[in-house]
Amino acid sequence: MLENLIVFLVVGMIISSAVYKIYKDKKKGGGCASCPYNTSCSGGIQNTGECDIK
Amino acid sequence: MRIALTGNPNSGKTTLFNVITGKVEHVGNWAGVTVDKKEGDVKGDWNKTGTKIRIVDLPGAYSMSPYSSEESITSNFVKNEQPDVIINIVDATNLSRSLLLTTQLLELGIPVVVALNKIDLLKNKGITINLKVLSKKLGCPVVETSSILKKGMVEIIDQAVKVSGKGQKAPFQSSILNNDELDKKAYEAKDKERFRFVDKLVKETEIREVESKKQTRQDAIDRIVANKILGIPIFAAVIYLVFSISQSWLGPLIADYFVGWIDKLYVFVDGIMGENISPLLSTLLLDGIIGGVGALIGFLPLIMVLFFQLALLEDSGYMARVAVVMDRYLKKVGLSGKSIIPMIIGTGCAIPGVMATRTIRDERQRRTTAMLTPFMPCGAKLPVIALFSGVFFENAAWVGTSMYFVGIGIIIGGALIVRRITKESSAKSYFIMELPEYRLPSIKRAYVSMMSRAKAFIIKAATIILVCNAAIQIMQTFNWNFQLVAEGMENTSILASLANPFAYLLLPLGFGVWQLAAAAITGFIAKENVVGTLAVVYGISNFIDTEELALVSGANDVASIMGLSSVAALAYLMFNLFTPPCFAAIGAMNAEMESRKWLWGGIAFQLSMGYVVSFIVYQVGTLITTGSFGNAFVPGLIAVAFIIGIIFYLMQRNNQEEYEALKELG
Repeated sequence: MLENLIVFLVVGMIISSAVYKIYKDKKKGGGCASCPYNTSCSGGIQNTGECDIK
Repeated sequence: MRIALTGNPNSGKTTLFNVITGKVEHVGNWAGVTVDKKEGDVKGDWNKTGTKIRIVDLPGAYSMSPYSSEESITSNFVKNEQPDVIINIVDATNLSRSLLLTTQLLELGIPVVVALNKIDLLKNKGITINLKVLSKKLGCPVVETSSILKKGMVEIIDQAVKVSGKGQKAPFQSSILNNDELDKKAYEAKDKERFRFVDKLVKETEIREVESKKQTRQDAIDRIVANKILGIPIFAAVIYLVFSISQSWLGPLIADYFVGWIDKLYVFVDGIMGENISPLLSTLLLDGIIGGVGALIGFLPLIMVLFFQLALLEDSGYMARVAVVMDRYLKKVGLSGKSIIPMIIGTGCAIPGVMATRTIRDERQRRTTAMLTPFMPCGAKLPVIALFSGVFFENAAWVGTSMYFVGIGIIIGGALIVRRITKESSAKSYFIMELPEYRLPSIKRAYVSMMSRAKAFIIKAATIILVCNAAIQIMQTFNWNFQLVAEGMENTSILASLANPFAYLLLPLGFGVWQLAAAAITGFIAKENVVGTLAVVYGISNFIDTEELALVSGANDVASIMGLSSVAALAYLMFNLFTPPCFAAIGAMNAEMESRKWLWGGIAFQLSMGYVVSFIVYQVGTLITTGSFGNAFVPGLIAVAFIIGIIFYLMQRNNQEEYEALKELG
């Protein structure tokens, strides 16, 4: 039972961290959540506050 | 304090921007890499003034005229946003061309500091510039810099801070830059005067030796590399070599060790969990997360080797020649010569590629290019290519090479079709691109480019791909009653029932099973998902052998698990490469096309192209290899005939309308 709980917490933590990262990137305003260049590639344009990707 | 970085295309603005801000924006040894402004703070290493300085890197511009989109970004920014100082990056090896923009900037009244960049190349080219005279004649500070060697960085920032707040006098006053009423002809007339002024200025400040031996050698290389007959075979040979190194030689060698670590992690976690763990949790962690993501990460070394080579090619100046070679073909099918730039950028990622279409002024050409750019295999599609070329084809390199050329073929064919459907006549375009000099590519720059792409790949695998794989694993584990699916009964799972209807549509293409349909669908979220999903649905955690130093051993095992013939595998690969790109790239298409009709037309066209190409490859390939057509030939033929019929109808409809309009006119 305890082993299952630990594995459940580990899996939950991994997935929720991934989801949180996607959410955070999306909130920053760029078009490609999880891409490290989300805010700076020619398509990102977040840093100018004019994201063109709708 | 805010400083704008301006200058001609390929003068080294983004390289300088990266040095002084510590950012890693994409740079290339050719014009047109930057199509939008980028901002960053000056690093303390270069800023000894104590003032907080924000730098804005603007797209390259030859002049301040508002007649091209990227130039208007630069023009609008400096006119409307009034930066405190303008740092004008001037290519010291091409002073006469660069100073045209400088004289225009000086007219704005904003303090200007000229960064005389690429000074490291002056000696080799036999050019001497009198800095003092140039500075005096321009009426602004001139600082020698070399972005590549990081020379003059502190001085340029120092000078910018010193002139901030002071006015700027112009040596040449045309008084047209702030007059938006003037038409293009008036601008051109004034520019002629400006050219004369710049010519005089250059004569007074620059001593240039006659054409050097090196330039002649460069011209000789260009005559071969950009030759209209030899250009394409040379490009094919270069891409073949790139794929050979990344997928047949060096890549698998590194991948073998890498995959060994992932396997060890899998075994280690499996060992820790023991027997008492719930099968659901165990399979979710081992097969869904470690297996699915690990299968994709296994291809990282191959991708890194490939990107390293592409960065070397770009830095050497070769990719600009590819643009010239392709220009003559694209022009013939009604595209702008500029269309090739988005397509080359699209080989890295389709999104910046589609965004780069904004430099094309003609609306139809811009929309067509945005629609066709995703046909170039992007970085996300490379693991899919690597997987299928490795599993099903011994000689992996030709598969990747041919995918690029099939992509180019579809682009050319697609452009012809779109031109016939839209029937809009575009002005004949002339592609003028300054060819950068060949140079020995920098290992460091290629390394930085490779690492930045590797970072992108890993983050994507650890986020979107991981979440998708977990969802796929859960959907495969449960049926609609939320009961665990028994082993061997996966076709009763939620995933199978969702993917099955699509699988029927794919039967004529040779891969009508729910597993492959599910992988193709998840590919629309991110193309790497195809590999991750295949790993999850087939329970394969390792597509790359750890026993032998060859890509995807156990190739026969993997192929037999998937139950595909080589021909069907090739058709499946093409379906994934040539159907619509990921949703983010579709979003970029939407932004650049600015038309719902064009967007949906584009998506329908991409779907149709992927379906038709896969059908032809599978059915013709099966006919050649087995002597008879493949599965579901007749329904597939009907579907393909329907698609082709619609395309012909749309093409003919315009002809008919044109005919009737002409008839009415008598």
